[in-house]
Order: sequence, then C-alpha cells, then structure tokens
Amino acid sequence: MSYLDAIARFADALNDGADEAVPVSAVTRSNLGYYRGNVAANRGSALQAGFPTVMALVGVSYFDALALAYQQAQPSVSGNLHDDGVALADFIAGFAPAQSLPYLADVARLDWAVHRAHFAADVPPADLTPLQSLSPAEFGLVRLSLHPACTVVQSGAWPIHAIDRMHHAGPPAQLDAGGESVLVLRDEIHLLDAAAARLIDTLQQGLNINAACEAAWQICADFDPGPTLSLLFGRGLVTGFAIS
Amino acid sequence: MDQKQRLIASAFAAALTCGVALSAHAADANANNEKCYGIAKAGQNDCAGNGHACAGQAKKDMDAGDWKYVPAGTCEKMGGMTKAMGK
Amino acid sequence: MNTALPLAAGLGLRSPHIQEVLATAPTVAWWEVHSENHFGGGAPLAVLRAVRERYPVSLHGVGLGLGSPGPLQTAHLEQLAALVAAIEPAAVSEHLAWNRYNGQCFNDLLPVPRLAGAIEQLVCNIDLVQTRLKRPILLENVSSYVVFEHQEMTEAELLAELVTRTGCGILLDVNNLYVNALNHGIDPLTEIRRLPLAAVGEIHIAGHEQCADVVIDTHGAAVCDEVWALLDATLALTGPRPVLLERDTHIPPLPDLLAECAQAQRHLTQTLASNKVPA
Repeated sequence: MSYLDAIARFADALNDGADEAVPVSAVTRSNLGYYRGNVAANRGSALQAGFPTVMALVGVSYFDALALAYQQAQPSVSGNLHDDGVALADFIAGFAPAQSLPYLADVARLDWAVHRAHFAADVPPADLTPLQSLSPAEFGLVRLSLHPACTVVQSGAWPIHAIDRMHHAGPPAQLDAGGESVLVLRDEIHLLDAAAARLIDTLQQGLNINAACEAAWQICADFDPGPTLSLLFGRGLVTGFAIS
Repeated sequence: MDQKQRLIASAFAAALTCGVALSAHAADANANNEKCYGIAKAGQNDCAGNGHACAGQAKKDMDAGDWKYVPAGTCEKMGGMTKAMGK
Repeated sequence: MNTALPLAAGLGLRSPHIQEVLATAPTVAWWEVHSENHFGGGAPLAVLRAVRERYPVSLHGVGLGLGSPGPLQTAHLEQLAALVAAIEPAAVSEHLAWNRYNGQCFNDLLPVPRLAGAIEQLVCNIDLVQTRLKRPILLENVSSYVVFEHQEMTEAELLAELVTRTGCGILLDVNNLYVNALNHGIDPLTEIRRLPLAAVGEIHIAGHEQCADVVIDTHGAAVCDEVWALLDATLALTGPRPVLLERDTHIPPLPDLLAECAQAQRHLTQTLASNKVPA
C-alpha cells in the first residue's frame, strides 16, 4: 500500500470510524479512536474559546454537544484552530434543537466578529494627503477600504449589544428590547445606531460615500454621517481609498 | 450643491482632518502597546495530545432528533422573551 | 545544525504566563511559542514582539501538516512568513506529521505512513517552506499511537533522508521517542543513533500521561526520571544542544516551570563540562 492510500484510509477512519481498513497493526488499531478524540477535543476547545458568549448563554454541556454537531456538519479547513467556527452562526440558525433560542445565531455572529477582529492583521492607515486636494463636490465619490479589525454586526430582532454587555458585568439583557447593531473594533465593542451601521456596512461593500450616506438616510432621514466618518478616519481605520 | 451634498462635504472634510491629525501617531487599531498584554486571548494551537483524548474515543454521528441537552447558562437570566419564542 | 538559539535550556511560553513574563522578565535563555497562536496582528502579535525585545524566540509550528498529500495551504505559509519577518526568530520548526486530506483538515499531529510516496511529498513541502522562509527549518519526530504495517523505514531513517535531500535540521523530541518506546517497544537510543546527529539543532523534553492501555503525549505532567536519563544519553551522543521544556496542559505556576527549566539547564551544563577538551 502507498503512503497516499494509507492516509486516505486514515482520513476515512477519522470521519466515519472505518478503522478496519487502516493499514495499522492489529494491536494498535483501537488507538485510532484517540486521534478521533484528539481532533474533536482540539476543535471543541477552539470553538469554546471563539464563542464565549454563546457558551455562557447555553452552558458547557449544551455548547459541547452543539460544537460536536457542528464539527460533523462542517469539516475543518484550516491548520490554524483560530480559523474554526466561520460557519457556526449559520449552523445554529438552521439547527432544529436551537430554535428555542432564536437570538443565539446573531450572538454567534457577534462572537465570531470579535474573535476574528482579535486576530486580524495589522494594517497601517492610508496616507490621506491626496484626498486633501479633492474639491468638496468630489468627496462623495470616494470609496474607502477599512481595517480588517473593524466589523459591523447587525441584528434585526435581538439586542446583541446588551447580551454581550450582560456577559461583561452588565445588567441582564431584555430580549424584547429590539434589534441592535454593533461596531467591533479590534478588542472593543461599540453600540451603533442602525443608520451608522448601514453606512459602514455599505462602505465595506465597496460603494462610495454618496451611496453609503444614501443607504443610511433610508434608515433614518435625519442621520448625520459626520461622527461615524470621523470615527473611521480618526481611529486609523481607513487603510486605502479610490475615487469613482 | 444640494443640502445632502453639503452635509456629506462637511462631514467628510471634518473626518479627513481627524485622519490627517492621526497620521503623525501610530494607529490604535494596530495594537502595539502595553494595554494589549493583558487582553491577548489564549492560543488554541498546541502540539500536545489532548487530555480529553483519554475519554474522547469515537463519537458517533449526532442525530438532532435525539437531542437531549437543555440550555443551562445565562440565557435564563434574560427578560422579556415571549412564550411564543420559548420552548 | 546550528541555529541562532543559545546553547542553553529554554522554555515553552504559553498564554497563561505571557503577561507575567513581560512584567517580571525572569531569567530564561530563550522562549518557544506555537507559531499559529501569533498569526495575524493585534494583541497576539504585540505580546510576542514585546517578548522578542528581551529574549531570543523560537517559532514552533503545529499546523502546516508537512506530510499531508498535495500542496501546502498557501495562506498558512504566508502567515508564517509574515510572522518570521516580524519576529526574526532564532529557529523555526515544524512536525513530521500530516493534518489534511482532500481539502479537509484534521487538527492534530497525525503520524506519516512511511510508505511509497511519503519521502517525495515531504521533500516537496519542506523545500517549499524553506524557499519561502529563506532559511532551513527543524523537523520534529512525533509521538504515535498506531504503527503502520509494512513500513519501509524507521522514523529516524526517514528524518535522515529528509535532512540529506532538503538540508533541513532535526528537532529531536526525546519524550516523543520515550512515548513511542512505551507504546510500541522501539529502542530510543537505537533510533537516535540512526540520525545524522550533526543535524540535530534542538532537543525537546516534556511530560506524558498514562491513559488506559496507551501513553498519551499530553505535555501535561513534569518530565519523568526516565526522560531525564534519556536526555543525558542523547546529549552524550549529540554533544551540547539547546534544550526546550514544553508544557501544554495542566499548566503549573511559572516558578514551577522555571525550576524545571533550571533542572534542564543543569543536565545541559554537565554535558558542556564533559565536552570540554582538556588543555
């Protein structure tokens, strides 16, 4: 048997428990289970660390069972365990036993955004000098690239900011308080109003300032884009720009 | 310029001033200072055979229909959830 | 193989101790971290930069899966290259293991079947990494809980071949050899004598745990007497080498690890003394 055949059969055994086909000695064959256990435990620990709020909400036993169901549905695709969990929020949204906790998927989206922002690359702010020579009429045509450690998470129905704060010494969240949007900024979390969230979200989709402001005004006609744009520029989150 | 364009122009000009002022300093999204030391998350990658492995032999596929777990965390503390949403 | 590591005992640095290390600057000759835990930027990179300002650092990867069939994950290698550029480590190492098949990743250090095709795949992957990083890497022998049938060579013989064909060095983990001795009856010193000893650039020691009928390399206990003895026997063969103490689970307070690291230094110092050529 070739090296490649042996690895293919080992992989099958890790996925499906088909231990008999793996070309290992009879006396060590039962040890394949240790590798299955190791992989599951390594992924399980990484998911616990990546989704602390989800885990706190449901407790460890429920979370570990959820994480195991997720592992079976979603193979790992990275050798870095910090990359595991990208699809957990969507998995929760479609997972029948979790339907009694309808806010859980949106909380998972926030946990994931916080996790990714923590590990996101360092990118220096753009040199803004060329923008200073634009005429005011041209400002609206600027498109911005934002820092990878900057993410907006929007929940239409659930108070995800209050739920997060509740797990950082805040008061119990009120589930009927309505949807909230959050700006994740490296290791910080800020409550955003819905129009500001739409502004940043639209910019991140690659549209220009005019289009982003129009999108925000559809949410709130009185919205002032000034503070949000000043936050993005003032915190060094503008890492590139183009004009269109 | 209509009113919207004037609003965009003044907002952008003010923001640009903030950004240019910042350029002299390191951006704080690029964490390079002491405040980070306490907040670095525990790394999950290690090269040890996990202690769980002893107990964690083969796990069979989980059927959602057999789900027997009950949420037992902070979800119970939250208020305002209607009966229709629960259970 | 010569690396820039000090010829002294170093210690594995894990998250629970990083803040204390930065605050108290304990006397440790060098630290080793797991590369993937510092991929990207933000606080994980910032703390490692701060450690690097005061100490030599070794980057020890766990996720490249050099023995996996097919091409390496480019993004993983690029993140490693960025980390190497930022930290300027004294050594870069990875494991003789696989972790990927058919697009799926198995996050563990899986033993490479020493069968037809293994050497070519490993040589290809090691060449790729060394070319990208512009430096040789050290390759570590692993603990194994299974024994493949009809293997063409021992792990040491495979390492020797890889050293010849890629110019990589060896990170000799004596605890892993000891675990394999307990589980599979190999003779550690016979294996060590099969290695090109000049290529050994670093030695690992750690603890393991018995669980049911197999010994698991948990890095969750103190180094046992037998592994200390094997370290002495190894150093007698290789001559003095940088020695690293690893601990990944049941992590004790930092002073306990510093004491165990000092013990490793004493073993190394004995070797250094006995290696001195009389005037």
